[in-house]
Amino acid sequence: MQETRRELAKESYLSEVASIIINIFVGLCLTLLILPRQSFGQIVLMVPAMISTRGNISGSFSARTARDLVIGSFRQNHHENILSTVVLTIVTSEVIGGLSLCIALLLKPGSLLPVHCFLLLPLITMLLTVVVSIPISTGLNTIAFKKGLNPSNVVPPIMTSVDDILVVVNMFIALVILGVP
Amino acid sequence: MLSYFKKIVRESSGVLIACTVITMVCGIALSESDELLSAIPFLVLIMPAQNDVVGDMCQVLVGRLASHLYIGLVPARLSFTPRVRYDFQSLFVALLLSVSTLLAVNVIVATISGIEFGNFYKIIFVVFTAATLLFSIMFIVLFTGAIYIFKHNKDPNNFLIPITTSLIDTLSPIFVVLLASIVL
Repeated sequence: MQETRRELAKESYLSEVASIIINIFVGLCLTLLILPRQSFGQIVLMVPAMISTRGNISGSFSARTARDLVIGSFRQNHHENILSTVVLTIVTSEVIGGLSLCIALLLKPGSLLPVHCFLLLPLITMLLTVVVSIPISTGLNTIAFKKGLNPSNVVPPIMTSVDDILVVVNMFIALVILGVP
Repeated sequence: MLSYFKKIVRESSGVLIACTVITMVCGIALSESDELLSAIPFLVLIMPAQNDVVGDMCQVLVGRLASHLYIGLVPARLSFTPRVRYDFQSLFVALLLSVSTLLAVNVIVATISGIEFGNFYKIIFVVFTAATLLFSIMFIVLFTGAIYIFKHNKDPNNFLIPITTSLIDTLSPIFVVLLASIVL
């Protein structure tokens, strides 16, 4: 039992190291690209929701793709899977933007960003992410399946990290496009 | 026509909106602490990795608890059997090792990129306390939740893993910010 306990701790720790390094890159992007901005106090309202929701949408897309590949309905369902992912992304982005605007109106009414920034920042960020994320996720699922692996076990951990990085980088691009100070 | 699309949107939109509302709480906490975060950027650097480490350990815990309940290694009642203690202790050690690694790598990255990390010993205290406190609380919540869900003939994985992700994404930065505002 003592030996197995050590093994469990060791295995959990080793699988965590790669994930830590990827997430430090996410933290570095946040610290260097987002934190120095004047409007950080308002932008940061949306950051946890965008990162978390993006992971949830992408995780579900990847799981559905993997299942469709396994049960043989990939060709039949793939277009509707993509369409639903894009629609959910747009709806959720606007929910994040709308809620952030309401909260910012209550908490920081003096130095409010223009309304269109609240509505467009999550939308541009998450649509840019989805445009990159869907082909990568589909490609990885297909490769894993063709190699005889179960895509459900292989793809989600990779896509979680890929999406975390994409959200932060795309948020910076969206901030530049919108000219947010 | 578009039945698969409609099914996905109908089943997912409610959960996604609920998760969004939960994580907005974290956004409010961070927004209210913008001066603290601007003064100590190291906290922002460390947050995504800290969320990930605590979240992953909790997910492994849920997965193991669910498996042990199904194969009968853990009885479906609230008692800290040797197997439950064993899972907690193993994952707690893995958490401490992961947080130590996370701090070490972050210090190297911060030093190279010139990111301010303030009082280092206090930061270590904040990061370790936030991670261990949150993991311990989550252990009790997840253990109780897994037993309850399993007793109702449902799979704890399906319920507890999405909840764990949203809770950790929300609570981990709040714990760090709260402790930092007290200690630093």
